[in-house]
Amino acid sequence: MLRHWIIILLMSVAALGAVAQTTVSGKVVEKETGEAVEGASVVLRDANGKIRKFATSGDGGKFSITAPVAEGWTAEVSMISFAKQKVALDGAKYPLTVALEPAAFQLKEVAVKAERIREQGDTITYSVGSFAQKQDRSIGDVLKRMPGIDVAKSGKIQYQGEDINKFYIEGSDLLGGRYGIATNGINHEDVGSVEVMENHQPMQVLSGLAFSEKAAINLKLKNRSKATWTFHGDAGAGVSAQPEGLAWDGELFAMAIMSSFQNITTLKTNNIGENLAAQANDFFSGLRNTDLSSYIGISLPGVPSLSSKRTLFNRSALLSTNNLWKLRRGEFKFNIDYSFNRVVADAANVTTYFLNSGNRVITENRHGVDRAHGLSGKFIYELNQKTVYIENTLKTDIRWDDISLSTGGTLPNRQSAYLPDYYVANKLKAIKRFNRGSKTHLITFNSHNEWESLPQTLRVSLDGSTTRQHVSDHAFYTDENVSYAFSVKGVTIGLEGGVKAYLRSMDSQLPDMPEELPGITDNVVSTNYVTLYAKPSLEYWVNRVNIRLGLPVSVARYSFDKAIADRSEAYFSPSLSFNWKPTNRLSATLGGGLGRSPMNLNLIHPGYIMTNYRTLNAGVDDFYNSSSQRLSANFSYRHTRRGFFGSARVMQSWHHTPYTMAQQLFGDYVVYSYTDAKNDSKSFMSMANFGKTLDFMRGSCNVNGSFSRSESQLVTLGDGAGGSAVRRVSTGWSVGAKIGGNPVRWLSFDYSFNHSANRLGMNSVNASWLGSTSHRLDIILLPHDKWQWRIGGDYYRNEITQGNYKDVTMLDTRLTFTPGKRIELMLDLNNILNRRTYNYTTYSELSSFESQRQLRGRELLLTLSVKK
Amino acid sequence: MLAAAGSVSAKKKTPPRADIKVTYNYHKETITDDGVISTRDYPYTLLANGTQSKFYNVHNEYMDSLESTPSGRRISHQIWNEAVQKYRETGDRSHIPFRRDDMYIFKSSADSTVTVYDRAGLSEMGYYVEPLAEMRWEIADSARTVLGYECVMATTNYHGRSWTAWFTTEIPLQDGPWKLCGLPGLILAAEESDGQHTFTAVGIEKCDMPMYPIYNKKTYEKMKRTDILKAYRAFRDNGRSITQTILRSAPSGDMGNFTLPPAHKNENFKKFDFLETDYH
Repeated sequence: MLRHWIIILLMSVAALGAVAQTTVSGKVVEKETGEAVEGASVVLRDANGKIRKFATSGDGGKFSITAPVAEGWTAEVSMISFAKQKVALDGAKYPLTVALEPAAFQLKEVAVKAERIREQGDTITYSVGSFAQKQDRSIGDVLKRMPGIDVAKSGKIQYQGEDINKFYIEGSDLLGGRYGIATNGINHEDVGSVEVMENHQPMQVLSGLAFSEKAAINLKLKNRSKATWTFHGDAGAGVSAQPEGLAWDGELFAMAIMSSFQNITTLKTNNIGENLAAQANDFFSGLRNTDLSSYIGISLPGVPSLSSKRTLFNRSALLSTNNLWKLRRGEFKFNIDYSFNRVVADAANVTTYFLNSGNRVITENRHGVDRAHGLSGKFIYELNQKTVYIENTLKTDIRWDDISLSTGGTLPNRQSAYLPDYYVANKLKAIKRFNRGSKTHLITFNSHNEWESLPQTLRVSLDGSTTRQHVSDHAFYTDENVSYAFSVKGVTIGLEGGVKAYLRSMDSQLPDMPEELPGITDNVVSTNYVTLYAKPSLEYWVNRVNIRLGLPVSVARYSFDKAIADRSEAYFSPSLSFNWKPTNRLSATLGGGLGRSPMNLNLIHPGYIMTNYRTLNAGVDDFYNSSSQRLSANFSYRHTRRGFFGSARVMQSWHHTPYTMAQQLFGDYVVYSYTDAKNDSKSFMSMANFGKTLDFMRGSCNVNGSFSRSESQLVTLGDGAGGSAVRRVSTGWSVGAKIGGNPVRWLSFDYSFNHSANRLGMNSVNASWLGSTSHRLDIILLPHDKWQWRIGGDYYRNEITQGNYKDVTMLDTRLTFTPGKRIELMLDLNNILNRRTYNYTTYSELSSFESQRQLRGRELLLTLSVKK
Repeated sequence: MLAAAGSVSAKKKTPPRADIKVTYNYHKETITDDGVISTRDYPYTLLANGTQSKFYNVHNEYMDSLESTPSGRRISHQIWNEAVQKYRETGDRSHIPFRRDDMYIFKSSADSTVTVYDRAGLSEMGYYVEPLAEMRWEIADSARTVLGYECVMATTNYHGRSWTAWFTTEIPLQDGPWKLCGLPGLILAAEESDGQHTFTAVGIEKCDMPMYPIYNKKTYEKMKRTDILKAYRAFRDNGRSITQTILRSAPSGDMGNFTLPPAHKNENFKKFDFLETDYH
């Protein structure tokens, strides 16, 4: 009996010595309603936080776990869409009741990177969230990080080295070619993804008939940014050391992307080195057919090889409003832009001649102001359907540009130029597609009418006398054509025919001609033509190769209002191209063309026109034709899954004109004119670009390079008879690289490097290579969700003469505080070292030359940023 | 009128919506008929909310969705034609929408079931329903970070293979790739001990996509799990002779003399097996 008791006692002691098993039981409920929550995870953690046991709440939200619960253990209850609850088990009474509160389910930011680049057919989709970094603001900032995509400062986009041909927002073309407003304005947080549509044919009627090598971009907005107005605004003010005074930078941006209406309106202004007019440029407009260009050319002194952010002394403003209405049939668009840009520039050159009789110093101080206003408006109606396409665009573009430039010192003078430009154009295009059996037919009607007036006035005050050059130049251009295309068995044959007419009159007066110049100074020129043309073309697909052949012919009648005898000309300029796309990843294009073309009619003016205070131009007094040949090859490769994009292109062209530019000095004046000598020029250009995603740090990198060489002739006329021909060869190359990413949670960085060098050779005597290098590094520290600190700097190393370098280092910093989702405060300190001048001196045996330029000084700016 | 509207909406049952979308890379080591060991990567997606989930191959679902309607079949037919045309012209097979790895796994914690749709042969498809809570996990001491989430290691033996999984309690979903589930947090990575099958999460997004039921359910036959595996094994082992038989009995008959080169079966064949190996 006693033995039994002893055994029982021993067993009890053993059980106590082992760990006591506890049954942790309880119920999970929703706090508000008290309703049972099924499927919640219940995890028991020991004092070290290690998971020891777990279970799931079942019927009625009940759970039960048997475990050796000891001191410091906790039960953790979690469920998606609820906040996690922790319960300490020390002294807990079972069953427990755990009440969960609903909470938004949050993912870690680093994990939101599902497939950074996706590909489906010809469409490549980049996920914006996976490329954006904390310091990015506009969608343009993020586009720059996407391999294969390149964004210029103005907002212009290239894909695989080629300009895009359309920019859509949610599938609608609101901005046309002025999409810089979107790339620089739209907040990247409103955009979900960017789609690149390769080989994009914007006109649906042409789909499957006309091949396009260009790509289009479509921004897909996040759901919360659609069907509503979104706004954001920045207001920044501060002080600047040079120019001394108030510095400001402000922006208001409103966007509505709705199913039947779209609007983007923006107002921007700054005086901190950003020219806003470039952002409203129409990247698709191409050359105007009115073909006028300003004869007068004076420009402000600049600082070469430095970013404009460091050197531009500006006051700029831009107002743009863009509207799109989707009608029952088609779309109506209305855009208006106004831009203002005032730039001030100062420069000084000091040349010291070391003479036996003592040094002689010649100084030249230049001070210039350029005030430019631009106003443009566009009304577009577009109907884009599978069988019909109609587009009518009425646009007007008015620009005023007043430049004044005074030069002080040894040869004081003052120049002022008034260069307004008035332009109106209407373009109508209508296409109809119909199928007859297996054949597809297309009929297109085009009507272009353009008018432009470009009056130019230059006043030069020198030695107390004033010279005034005035040019009035008007042109009207009209082009009416019909084209017919049909497709049989994959071959598309196009026939286009039409008539073009051009009426232009130019007259110029220079009443007070410098005495030392021989020749006439008045011009009354009219250059008119009527051209009948036909452009047969052929397009064919075979084994993934697209072959295109163009055979344009034209007959033109030129009349010059008796100044030159009227004449008739015929032109033929065939072109051929092959595009081979063996796989979705690879595309290669070979193309070439040759032909004869009329000269630039602006060159016909027998009398002088003064282009600036010491340069005059005389044109030709007869009509000439020129001929040219070109060959080009493009290559692009992409592997979206690996995030690799590469492209390369090579181009060679030859140009032959029966006249050559000649340069002659008359006292202080340089006169450019043309001689009868034949000029054969050629140019070669090549470039390559590779981009790759760096997924391990949510980053990307890019390497690019280019090489170009051009060769042309110039005749230098001496004082006596005859002259000498100079063969000019200019060669240049550049390499660049960019890398950026977010390697650890609290740090991101961007680094870019660029080196370029060029050389000018005359008659096989080569000047030395002059190189310039720039580095930019930005490091962004993210110590806390609400704080961000950027430290950045530029380093420039420019070669002034061989082996003589000018180095500049600029440092900037920005502190950003984000107290809430809608508000941000930024404190910028730019050019911390307060580098205010860019001066350098070069020496020769007999003289020294010192160049002095100004840089934007230290600048403190406090910006408040608000968004909705 | 109201009653009519009610019945319409009742007929058109809206599919449940996901809370989260996880993209996994399914890395698989396999052996070709020529005895060459090859690795393949398939993108799989897990759509999940607290009570239901769907694990599937997005590309296959796209083709399957086309096959489910007459107009879709025309598109599908056209995709095939164009792809085959491209293949004939260039030898590039990448456009042909082969169904390569086409399982669909639907888990439901409300019914406590997992429904698996899988291939059982060249064109035979099968499905089965199993109880959900079959895995007995052991939580280990190791930890690993996947996509920035701290994950805890857990192991289990399941249907012939021993699995190691890494799950995160930061995402409280008791789900994971393939049939793997039942841990107190989402499984972001899993591999079996032979290294032939690995699932790794490559992306996580919040998402409210609907979880549509399987397309073309009629084409799947209800089978026992092990029968599906056995049938598919038989197809894989005799793939060449099956293909040859089909080619020889082609209506045109011009393939009558077509003989595929013999397969070089070697020792490696035995080493490579399916996700589940308990069917032998």
